Amino acid sequence: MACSGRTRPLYLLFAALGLWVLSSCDSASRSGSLDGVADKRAPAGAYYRPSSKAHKQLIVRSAIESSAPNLEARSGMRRNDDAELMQRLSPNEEIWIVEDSLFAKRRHETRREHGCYAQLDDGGGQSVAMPIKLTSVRAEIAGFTATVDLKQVYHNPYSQKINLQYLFPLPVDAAVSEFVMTVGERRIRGIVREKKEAEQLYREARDAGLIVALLTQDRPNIFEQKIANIDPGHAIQIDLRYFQTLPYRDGGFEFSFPMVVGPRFNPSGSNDPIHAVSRGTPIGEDDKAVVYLNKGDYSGHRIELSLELNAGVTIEDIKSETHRTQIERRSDRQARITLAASDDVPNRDFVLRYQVAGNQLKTGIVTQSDSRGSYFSLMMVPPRDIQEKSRRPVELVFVIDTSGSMRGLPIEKAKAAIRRALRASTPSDSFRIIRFSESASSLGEEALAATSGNIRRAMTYLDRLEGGGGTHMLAGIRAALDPPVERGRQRIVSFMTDGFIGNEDQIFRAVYANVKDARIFSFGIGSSVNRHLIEGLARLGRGAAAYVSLDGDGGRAVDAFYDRIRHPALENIQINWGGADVVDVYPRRIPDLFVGRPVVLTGRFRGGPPRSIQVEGRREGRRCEQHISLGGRTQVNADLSKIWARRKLADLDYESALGRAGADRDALSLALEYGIVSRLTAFLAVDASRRTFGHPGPTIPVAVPLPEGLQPGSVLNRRR
Amino acid sequence: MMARLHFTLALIAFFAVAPELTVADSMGTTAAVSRAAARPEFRSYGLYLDTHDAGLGAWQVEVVDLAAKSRLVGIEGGEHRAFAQPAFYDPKALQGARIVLAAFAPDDELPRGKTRVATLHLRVDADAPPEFKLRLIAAVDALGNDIDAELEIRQES
Repeated sequence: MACSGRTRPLYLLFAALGLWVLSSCDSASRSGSLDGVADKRAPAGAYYRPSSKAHKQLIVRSAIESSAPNLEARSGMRRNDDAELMQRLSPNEEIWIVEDSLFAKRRHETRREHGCYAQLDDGGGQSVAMPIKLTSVRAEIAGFTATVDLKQVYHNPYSQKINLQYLFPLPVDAAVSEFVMTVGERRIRGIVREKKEAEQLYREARDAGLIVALLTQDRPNIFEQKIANIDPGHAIQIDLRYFQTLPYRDGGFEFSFPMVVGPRFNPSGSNDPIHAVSRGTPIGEDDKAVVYLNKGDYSGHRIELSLELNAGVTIEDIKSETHRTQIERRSDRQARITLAASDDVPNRDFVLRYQVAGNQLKTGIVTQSDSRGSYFSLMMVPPRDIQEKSRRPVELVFVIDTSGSMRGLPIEKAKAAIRRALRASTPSDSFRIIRFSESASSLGEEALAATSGNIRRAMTYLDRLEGGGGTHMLAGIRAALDPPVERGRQRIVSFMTDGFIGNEDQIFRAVYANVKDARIFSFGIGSSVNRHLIEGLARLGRGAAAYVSLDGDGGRAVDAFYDRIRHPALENIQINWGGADVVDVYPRRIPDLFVGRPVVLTGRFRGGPPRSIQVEGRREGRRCEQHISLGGRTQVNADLSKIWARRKLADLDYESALGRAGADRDALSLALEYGIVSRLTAFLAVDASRRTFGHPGPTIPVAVPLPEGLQPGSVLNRRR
Repeated sequence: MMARLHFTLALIAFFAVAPELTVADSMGTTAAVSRAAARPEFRSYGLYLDTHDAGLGAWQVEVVDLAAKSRLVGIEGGEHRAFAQPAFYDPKALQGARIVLAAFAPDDELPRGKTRVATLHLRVDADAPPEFKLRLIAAVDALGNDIDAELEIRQES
């Protein structure tokens, strides 16, 4: 290390103090130079380093940039730093003033006061210094459960101490139950606390100059990482672990990892908005905002991803339509999948699908026991004879999002999906098409019969639709659900949207109040859709969710949708557990069983696990039942207790959104007991062993790339 | 191979006692927890186990602050490589103002003698420093046998 040695260059401190006094008397544009000490350089990261010898070395980074415009602000901070340093000096200590060459090339710096937005510019180049370097994902998939280890590596590339905040997505059902902060070689496990308390403790620790990390949940699929007091040049690593079950949709299991939060539109009445701003837009510390890189910016934030897949049965096909991957088949049941190094920009969801041999997909159960009890996940496959029946006529209601975020390729994908669905309809069906952005309008006043003439009319209508304006989804929901449906028809509502709104709870309440007997099949269109909204619509509407990426043709999703609505679903399902003592099964309201879409239930049991079940339901008004033998149970590595708790929390969150008293109290108690992050709990990790020097630095929001396919002008800085 | 088997048995034995122990007497501290200390400070406390000549394969302890003013805000790993990963805690016990920690060594090289097995990071009230009551719930060797050990907590910062 360049700073080792036993010299005592205290004169350097006084030289620096002199400069700071001078600079504080001058304007922010005064240039400062410490050429005399510039040759005493330290590598990035040198800030305070106890010597292994008797002498201690205090190594102070002085941001010395001849063109730095903000010496005024810096000077005040430095004087306090130095006073503190002087107080802590003892005769056997020495002080070095060093410059770090890492920062010499920074041309200028903009900054607001502590707790607000700050950024460093590169001075016109494409590379933008951001305090995140790497996101690494390692997942183990066993059957339909996954254990995911997520590593985030942050660092401070700036010349002063910083705090950072980063809004990032996780799967909507992820049960985040481990949080470890690594500072140097030391690993500190985070503690789950009530969210308000954790936020208060975070502020106290931050103000005390301690390194502290806080993980909160803003939405079931949006989390916020805050880290305070990262010294210049230092790195902090955060490790998360979460568990989830994998959905089976459109003929295959699906593992998805979201990489970026899409820009949300917040209509008036949004309680907890998440803003979307471009880099450089000032935001307050308490504002929730996703900050996007500007066009041409590159932050250097990379993503690595690898999966170990053990399907338990023969894998027929493995494929990602969203990313380039390397697939290594280890056996007919096992494979290793890694993200290609050339595809490491985190700007769209990673989606991997694997198909198992069709005749091997059977209703099955996995179990796990721990000190809290015994848990299971049951995947219930629809009975085969469900495909032999045809259903009553339907009224198809296509609700297409034509807001600004859908402009371009997303809206074309949505239109193609509707066209395909209309072509598959029969003359006995009827249909409506509703578009919404700032307001809602529709093709005609009433539902049209699915005749060839009306379908041609619909095609022309679709051709004229373009994206633009805000996302007032409530208008679309009312237009879809309010009008009475013709007697004898089943109303099927298909939302085609990226879901980039911030008022999900408002939407859920409206759907719950108005859905009546309609079924909702939501289509997420785009590269980084809001799966919380898409899944929530389908859940409340007792339908199913599907996703159309910008890379695929969407045909499979639409065909699967039509396959589902062509046959009657098994509804109002109840399960007889065959004498097993089964309790607390979630979701409480068992979803309808459609063709090609298994349902996953998670619950607890006492004594032995269920060996067989009796499924009862109604199809087209008639009672049906089926006996299913579950065969041998399978033990899994994934923590089913956490998955169960997350499922229960999801139910409680819906109940809370719909106004059930006591839901929040139950949710808080559950999340604390199981140690998982939720709407009401947070992870906190404090390093109380070492205080960083100086005043708290500015808070830097981590800027992220816009989701692929979005056009910046249409979606950013739309703050209400 | 045999050692691995024994070690696994040791872990099973170790965690088998956890459910019972996590509902142990909370010493009446639950209701007394203060949410807002008058003068908050953050301190770290080293948790030491002295196993004399025995190798430490796994351990579980309970820490209760009788002053009931401290808040656990982080658990750091120990000094020996075998316990470098931070110990796990029982979130349910924490709701009752008890800190129940457990860890096991993932490999065969085990610490002997006195070793810091964890560091607790706490937010405390400077005017009412914590008074710890410690309880060693379990200390076992690689084979799952109980070993004698002394437990100590010491303020580090």
